[in-house]
Amino acid sequence: MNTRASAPAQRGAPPLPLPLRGLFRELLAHGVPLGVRDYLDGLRALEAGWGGTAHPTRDELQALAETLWVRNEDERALVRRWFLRLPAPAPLLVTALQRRVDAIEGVARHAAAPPQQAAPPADRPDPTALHDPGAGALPGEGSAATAPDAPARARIELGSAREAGGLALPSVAATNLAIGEDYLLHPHAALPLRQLTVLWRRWRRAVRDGPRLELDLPGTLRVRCEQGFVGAPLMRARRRNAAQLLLLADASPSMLPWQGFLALVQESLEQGRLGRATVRWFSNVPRQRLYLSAALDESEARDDSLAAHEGAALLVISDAGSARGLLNRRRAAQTAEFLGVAAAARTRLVWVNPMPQARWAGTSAALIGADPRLTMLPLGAAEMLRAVDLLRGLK
Amino acid sequence: MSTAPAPTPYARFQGTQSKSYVTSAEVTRIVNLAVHLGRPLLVEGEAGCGKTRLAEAIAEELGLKGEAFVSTTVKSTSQARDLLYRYDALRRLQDSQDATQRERTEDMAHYIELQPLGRAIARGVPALVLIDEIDKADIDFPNDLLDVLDRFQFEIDELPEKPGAQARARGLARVMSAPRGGVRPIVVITSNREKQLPEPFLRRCLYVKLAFPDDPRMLAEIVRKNLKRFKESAGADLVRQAVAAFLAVRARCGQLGMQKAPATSELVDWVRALVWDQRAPAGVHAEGLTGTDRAVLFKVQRDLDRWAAAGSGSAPA
Repeated sequence: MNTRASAPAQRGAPPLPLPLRGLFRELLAHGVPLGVRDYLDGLRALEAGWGGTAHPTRDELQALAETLWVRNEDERALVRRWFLRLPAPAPLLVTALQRRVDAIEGVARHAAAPPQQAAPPADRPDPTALHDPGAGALPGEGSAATAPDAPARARIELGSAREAGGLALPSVAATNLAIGEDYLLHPHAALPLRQLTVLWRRWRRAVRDGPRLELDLPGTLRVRCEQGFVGAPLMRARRRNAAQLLLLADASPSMLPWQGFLALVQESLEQGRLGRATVRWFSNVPRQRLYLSAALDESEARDDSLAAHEGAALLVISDAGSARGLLNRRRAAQTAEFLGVAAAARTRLVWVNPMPQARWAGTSAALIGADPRLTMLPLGAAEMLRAVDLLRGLK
Repeated sequence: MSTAPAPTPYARFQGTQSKSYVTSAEVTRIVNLAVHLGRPLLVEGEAGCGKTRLAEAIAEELGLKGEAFVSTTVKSTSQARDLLYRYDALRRLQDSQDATQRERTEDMAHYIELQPLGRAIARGVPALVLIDEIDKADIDFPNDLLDVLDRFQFEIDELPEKPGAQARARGLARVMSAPRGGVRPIVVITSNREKQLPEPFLRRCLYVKLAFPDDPRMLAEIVRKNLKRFKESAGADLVRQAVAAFLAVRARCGQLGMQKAPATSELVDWVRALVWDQRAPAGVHAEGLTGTDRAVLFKVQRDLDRWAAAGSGSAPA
């Protein structure tokens, strides 16, 4: 296998060695944002002697791929899976096969067993053999009856030799998976803190007010040019963001899966540079009292809170009964009462429901979603962007 | 499209030549790759594990001293432009009111001062620029640096398209880049991960995570080199015992879920304190930390409380 590029990368002629070329395509297919430069950097690294030899090992190629192209755990898992599934280079394959077959023959001869079956060709594994309950027993162990299991044992062991460049045979663990697929399980926030913060920062209503503390350089120069003599520098008020938001967040048990997300939203608002952002909590429906924290301990009158935030856009994050999946008439009436009060004082009103939209039907969420005075959106990056645009007053 | 960087003029970083820093083979390899590819190196790791010291060790080993090693610490108010240049508008306004200086005000170049990264790019000679604690800055900061770190080129908005005599004399232009045949500086960026960095920024950098070394021999070597830096020394028995006790303390910190486990900088400080206190090696144990030991090793009151509450064998001060 040619692991060295034979011409400078900038001329574009030589490709990456096969394992890396395939991996590059695999990463692109999984949406990893790699570019031409990343590809060229792979070539330049190999030209510079990555690994210190003319033929880097699989481990070295994997380390190079992780260094150049991996920026999170999901991508690292993709790279590891790729190398795990990669067939072995031919010399290693032959050596590994020969070693295993020799061992099996030696043990079988020693046990004076009947003539053995030859190991099947490596490129045609028999997966059914892996399910054989005798496959885990050592060949020749105890009696001659175990000898027919030997080929299966060889395949399993060769499967485990992949890390050192062995065969890409299915492992015992892999065959236990019902749908033949492995999973990448890494906890993610619905939207990361940074993305939420950036969303809030898009919302600017710049106004100048307050004491004149900032030097007005263009104004000073203009006055000087117009009047022709040196005067005192002009000062002006600082620019500040006048955008205001009141967030009502549901802290009821049905919202438990999203409490972490709500905490992130609260944290992002602190960094979001809005003119004023207030978070109030409620349980199930914003009834007469709103709470100052998710613990629902200290409260204030809902109408006082709405009045104190007159002019602020209103964002509600709640499942609106769709997590339970039932329509509670009393709850629906309370929700309608709240919407009436909230919509009377403001026009920018958005409800984000983290439950999938398919679950809204037949619950109070469907009633809210059908209300023309507000917009109900599911939770997602695009929907949060839309929510912020609506809160900004963009239709 | 970015232009390909010129072949690197930098020597190979061995990771063994620094007087006070010990690095692993993997880190050494990634450092060399970043230097070769002309990509910034982003270094992350727990506080006190030697992120800043890695940059200093690279500069030391590659002979980048004086003006060739620029360190700039990012603050919460820092802006990307602060690393490139500063425009002194107030001085210009002041000069415009002074009849003797009025002529000077016509050339903006008098009021432009290049800053560490801008200077290193413009000089085009081998240099290392350390941008320390980038996560302290506002979240827009890394994005604003993206283009600069991509092309090693930046614009001075205040200068006209055709610079005046003063600008030419000072080597300033509207678009600043390395002179023909010049080289890119090595850029090392450290982060404590207080803020998440944007994805495109991460893609521009090569990434090193400095893990705490759990090899006692490597830790002993780190202690030995650092004591030498302070012109101090400790007996081999004391260092060995301190390292063993320190590893036990760190393991216990993990079990107790402490916020800030002591790292290499605390280990070095601790051994210095043990030497200063003339402690015998036999009396150094994780089970019997004195008040001084705890003061050196733990930085958070909650951790001190947890250690005491767990009855982790603290001896009276």
